[in-house]
Amino acid sequence: MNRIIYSSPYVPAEWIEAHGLTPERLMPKTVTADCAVDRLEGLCPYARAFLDSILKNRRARGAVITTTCDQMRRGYELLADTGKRDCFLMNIPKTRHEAAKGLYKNEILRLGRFLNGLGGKSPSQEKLSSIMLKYNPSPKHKSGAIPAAIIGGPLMKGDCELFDIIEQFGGFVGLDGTETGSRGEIPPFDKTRIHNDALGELVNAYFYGIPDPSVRPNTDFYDWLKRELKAGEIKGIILRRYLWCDLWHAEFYRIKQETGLPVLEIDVDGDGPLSERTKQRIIAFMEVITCSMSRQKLT
Amino acid sequence: MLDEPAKIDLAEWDRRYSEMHLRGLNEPDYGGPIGRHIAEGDHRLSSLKFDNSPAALRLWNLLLTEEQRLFEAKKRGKKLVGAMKDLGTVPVMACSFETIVPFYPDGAWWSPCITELSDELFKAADSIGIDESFCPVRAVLGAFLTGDCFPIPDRLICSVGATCDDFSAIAQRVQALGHSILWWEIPHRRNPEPDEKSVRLPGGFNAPACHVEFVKSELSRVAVSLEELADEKLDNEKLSRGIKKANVVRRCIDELRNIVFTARICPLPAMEMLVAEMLAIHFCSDLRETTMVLRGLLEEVRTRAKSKQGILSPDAARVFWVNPVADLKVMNLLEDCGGRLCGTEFLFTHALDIIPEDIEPMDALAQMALSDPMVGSSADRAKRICSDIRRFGAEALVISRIPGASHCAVEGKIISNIVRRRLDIPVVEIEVPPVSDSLQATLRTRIEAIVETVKKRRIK
Repeated sequence: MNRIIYSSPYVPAEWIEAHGLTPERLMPKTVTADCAVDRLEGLCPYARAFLDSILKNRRARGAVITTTCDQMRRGYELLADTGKRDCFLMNIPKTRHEAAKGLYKNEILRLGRFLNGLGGKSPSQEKLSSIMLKYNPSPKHKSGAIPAAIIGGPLMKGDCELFDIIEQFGGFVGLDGTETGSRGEIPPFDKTRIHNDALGELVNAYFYGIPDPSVRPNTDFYDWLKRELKAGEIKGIILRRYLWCDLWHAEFYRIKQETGLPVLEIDVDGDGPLSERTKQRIIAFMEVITCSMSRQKLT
Repeated sequence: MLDEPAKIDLAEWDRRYSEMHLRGLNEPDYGGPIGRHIAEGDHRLSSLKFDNSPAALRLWNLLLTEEQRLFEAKKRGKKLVGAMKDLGTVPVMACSFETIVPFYPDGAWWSPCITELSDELFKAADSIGIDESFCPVRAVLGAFLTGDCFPIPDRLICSVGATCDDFSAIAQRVQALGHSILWWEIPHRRNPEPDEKSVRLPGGFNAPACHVEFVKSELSRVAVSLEELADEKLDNEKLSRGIKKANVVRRCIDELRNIVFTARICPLPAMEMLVAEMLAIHFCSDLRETTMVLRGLLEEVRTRAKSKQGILSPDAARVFWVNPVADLKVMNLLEDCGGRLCGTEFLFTHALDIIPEDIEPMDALAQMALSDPMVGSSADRAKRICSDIRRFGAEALVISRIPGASHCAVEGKIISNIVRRRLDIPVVEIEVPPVSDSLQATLRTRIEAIVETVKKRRIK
């Protein structure tokens, strides 16, 4: 029982591991009728599913929730209210400057104290370094016929259905820009900096290395997006967001404008598999991209 | 002429105004009959009922002429600062400069109500993908697109961090339209850890001292921006003077709330109280006039309370109201249903609390910013609500959801559980859209039900 559950990419797994505990980045299942969290109007389905998973996870020693979105920030209170799980609310700054980085570093240290309270032990520079040096980022780009991108927040178990539909209709996911995909991965650590100041490098990589639309301003997110779309030769984007997610919904129009690519926005209620209506929309979207590519080849 | 306190409609007010004018009514230059604003598109006024005092007339005229005042200020060469989201801190800094006029672009959220959607701000926001799933504050984006509600400010300053997602997303879209924004961070307010240096904030919350220091450094960045804009330095003395002026407003509102919410017979209607409290946020772009208006209201309610006069029945149910309503008409509805406002938490109690004057001014402002009830937990908010319910003797709680607002999903459940547990008073949660006409019957039923519950409990 030394697992620490979390979902946000801003929670450094290396830090948890360095404290002698096991990080488990949770991908919740869609909720069922026995969900431990009431269905409330306006409550994000992902937040609900994640909180439910935390409450039912018998292997967890504790959980870390972040303030990356208001839904999770407030969802933490529902969890804390139950008293059933040791949980930690980690404040993730929305701005990106050195003082805000200092705030983030303090949160990392505070998380460390929380982990110590659950049986962990503050790591030495050497221990943290060795764990960070094991990190291997996954390959970002695949290749194939019709590359599409999926962008959005975190995925849930069962969301592979979306990837399957895309592949079934002639495409493949050339860019998984969801929070659980490559967008949520930090770039490789600088080995020299690790040796000099492992914690400093950890903070730097996580604070500056994850492009997110919730950051203000979110220009870095759009720089990252355009760069990755170009590198992957992406032909269309599926913006997959949860019902009630304002942060992503607000960016749909702008993503279309900034990328110039076809963009399909689908909202997901987290209650089960994709609806037939949504599946048909994805299929139609893949057909649009395929036709568009064929026309381009002819001209 | 009717001189006893009463609520009257617009037609009656315009008649009353003519009579008062003939009798030599003393008005500021922005004065006039409320009805003239209908011609400017403020159609909702014809469905509302107003307090009949000259003080209320001045309040409404101050509010409804703000747009004109801002355009005139811009023409006169004043620098306009749009303070977004933080509801009460940046305007205090901005008002410390003679050449800067702060205002609150977020206030455009009421424009669709006042114009009964004829301003087309929502339509403008819809056109760039910000639809009705967002909070009505999306009207701000519409205002920036149309350029109708207020002049485009010379500087936009927006707080972010522990703020609601919808506003943050909308503000980001404002920036994407090409308007430069200075973002400043406000961390989620948490309780200090046992071995952490702690600060007791005005309003009663606690925060780690390191957070106060951080916010102070953020506000220093804001100060530098304002100094560049005004081309003058903001030293401690100047800022202290600004704080003192803001505190004059806050003290007026504090006394107003105390008298109105505790008087045996309600001396001032809920709608006027809501507008009066809103003045605390940015002083309606005229701090001097705001102070005069509030002093006028205070004088009126003191007189009414002393002579035991009021506008409602003495047995009106005493209701504490959480969250501002998107449709002002619902404040009339509360009273039509037999209730009266006895306490409020309109998301900005930190703009009502007195700013400490005995500590370094930037420290004081950092503490005020961290006192924002929305920056901390809903449980903290509920504790403050409980304390104020006791202070004002409220008998019931209404939590008014704002459609699409991200904080409303969870806070209602947490606040109502805590209030019920601690105070054992009835609680109801309602949702109020910007134009609530089609929901009036539903809202009326629910408010009447809580009023009846209150009155039955009195018998027991």
